[in-house]
Amino acid sequence: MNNFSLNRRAFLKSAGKASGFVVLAGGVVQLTSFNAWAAKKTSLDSHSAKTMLLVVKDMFPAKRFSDNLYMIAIDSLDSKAEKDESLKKTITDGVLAFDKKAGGKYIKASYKKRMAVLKSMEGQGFFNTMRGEMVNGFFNNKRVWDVAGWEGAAYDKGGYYLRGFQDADWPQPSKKASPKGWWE
Amino acid sequence: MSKKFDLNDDTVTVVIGSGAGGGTLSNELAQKGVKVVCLEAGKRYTTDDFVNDEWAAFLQTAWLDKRTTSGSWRVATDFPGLPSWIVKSVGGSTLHWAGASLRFQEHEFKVKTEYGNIAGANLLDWPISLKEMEPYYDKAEDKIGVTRTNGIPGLPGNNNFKVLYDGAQKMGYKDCHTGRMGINSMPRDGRNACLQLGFCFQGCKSGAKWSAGYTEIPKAEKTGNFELRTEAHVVQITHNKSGKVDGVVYVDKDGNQQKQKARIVAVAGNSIETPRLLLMSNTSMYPDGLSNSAGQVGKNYMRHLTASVYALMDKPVNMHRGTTMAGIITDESVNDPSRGFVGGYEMETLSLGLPFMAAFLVPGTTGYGAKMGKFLDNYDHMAGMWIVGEDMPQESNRITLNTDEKDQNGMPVPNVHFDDHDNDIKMRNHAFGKGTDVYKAAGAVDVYETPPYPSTHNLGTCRMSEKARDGVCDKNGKSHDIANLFISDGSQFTTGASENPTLTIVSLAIRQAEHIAKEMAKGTI
Repeated sequence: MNNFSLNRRAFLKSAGKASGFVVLAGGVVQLTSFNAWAAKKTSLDSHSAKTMLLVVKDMFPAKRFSDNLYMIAIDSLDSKAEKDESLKKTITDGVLAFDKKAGGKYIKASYKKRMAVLKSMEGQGFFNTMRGEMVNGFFNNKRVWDVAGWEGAAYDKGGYYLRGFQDADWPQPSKKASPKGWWE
Repeated sequence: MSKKFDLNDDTVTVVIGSGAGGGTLSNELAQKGVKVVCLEAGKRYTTDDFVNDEWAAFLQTAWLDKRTTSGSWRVATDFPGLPSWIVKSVGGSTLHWAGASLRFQEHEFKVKTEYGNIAGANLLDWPISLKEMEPYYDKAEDKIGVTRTNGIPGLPGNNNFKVLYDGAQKMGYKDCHTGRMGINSMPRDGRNACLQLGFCFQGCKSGAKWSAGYTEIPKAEKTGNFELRTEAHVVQITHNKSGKVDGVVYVDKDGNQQKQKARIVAVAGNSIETPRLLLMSNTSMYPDGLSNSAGQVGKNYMRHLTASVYALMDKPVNMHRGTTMAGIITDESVNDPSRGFVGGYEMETLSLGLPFMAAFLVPGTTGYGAKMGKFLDNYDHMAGMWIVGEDMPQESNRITLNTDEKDQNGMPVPNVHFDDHDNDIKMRNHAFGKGTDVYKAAGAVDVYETPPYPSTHNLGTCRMSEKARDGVCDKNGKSHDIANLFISDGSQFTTGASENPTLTIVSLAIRQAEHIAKEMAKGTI
């Protein structure tokens, strides 16, 4: 059992580096789309918006997600902050605190530094606001589902029994383990 | 056709809850000519009302009344107000269940004998054996229409199952298949065959999955012996001078208190609400609550080991297509203490949609970062399993009344206290290892070992025991203290076994209905 546990740990460790799924960690915000988008903000200033965008990219870095997609989260918070002074304050104070922790500007800090900032802010106001928006809003958005490959509601499309519920490229199990369907 | 009984009719049996226990008991009694009033705290939804949307369905049907938590379990940190993930609706948690319908094994009814003394565990043999349960398992499987029983074919396995099966073969596991499921593989009992929707947890829109809300309840209504009252939240069970229960007080949908008289009261509110109600019903005659002379009400709360393993595979899987619990590996569901723990566990495929995956893959404030981003980014490459293992009953794991907090009816909220037993931790670590190996063998590039979600399998808290001093009810679910009070849900479980509990809850309800009808005919209750 000891050997086994060690093997597992080694696997988990090495798996993080496996090729094919190398994640571009946060990194630069593509400025062209950002500027056009930032001009439309109503309650957030450009620096706050840019910081927030990098925070959500750092929290959930994904190769398939464009900056435009991530902006769903910032747009949503911008709309909410318009009607919610305390949320606006949480954001304004949070961006300041993140910059301070980063020893300058969060958006100019190294990836390693930014991760340390996030770690130190876990469970606190602005951190929770951003993570909460991602978990409860962003990942519940159909545009995001389409990119990540979740297909959403199925009943209106007749379910999956004729639409690829067995199409994964793994060996077909024995008929005893997995009998044919009622339609076959 | 639904009957209407008078509030002062003291000949009715009041069943509290309409899920696997209460819904089944209600219908079985009504079929035998017993007059039943079923009080359900939630609303009634039809298959048309169900939605293929994770958060919307959660907000529609989950039990979200105020609750508190304590103890060292991680749920208390990640979900302090949501210790369990169960349903407040007609049909109870059979609306939400994935359908796994497994019989307990012989040794799991007598774990004290089989496992011996385990420090810190409050083990006890069930006062009932597998042999005594078999005829009722037969009836329950026929009622539910469990696949691979009664000549019903197994379901076809989906993508998530293909990955699990491949890993299981490469690991040398012998028993991996699409399970015994309460989901129609063929049309049966007036219900459709499975369309592989993938929204088993949200209420099955095709009606292929057995759910008490649209099977037992309408059947009971057809007998003319049954009345269902929805949004009727029971806050007290009352008793007469001789100590027998004689009715219940409930809050109706308009917020008014009503009193329903009763000849018999059966409680099936799930393992948190059932002991809470007994505790809230305390009087000068029963200062510690009803049926609590042994001090056992609320104790020995079990929630199954539970854990999940989610893998990122090297090719697209699309695990969300088709049944949520599409297949099972049972090889580890044995008692083999050489593994370093007693009891066993099942490995069952499980999938969550992207919204829930974001919330549950790594719950709590640490749920972010490069690895999590990578998994969510590649959702279509994910495969997943859930681990269901036998957890140790402990007296200190218990439901108590938190008198500092009040619910919407002004009643004290239940506090759920839980600490893992050392055996639970060893088993979970073993299961994480085996689950990881299964996916590694099938081509995983990375895995997450995901900690327990809010409890879906809530068990114990009013356990059955041979001797009155060891539990709350006898082998028929009848209170040791009060002859016309019954426990009719998973609260009765003496121990949890490694199997999903619904089939056993339904079997016990069928058995209890037989007992109650017989005793009523004899005039003993």
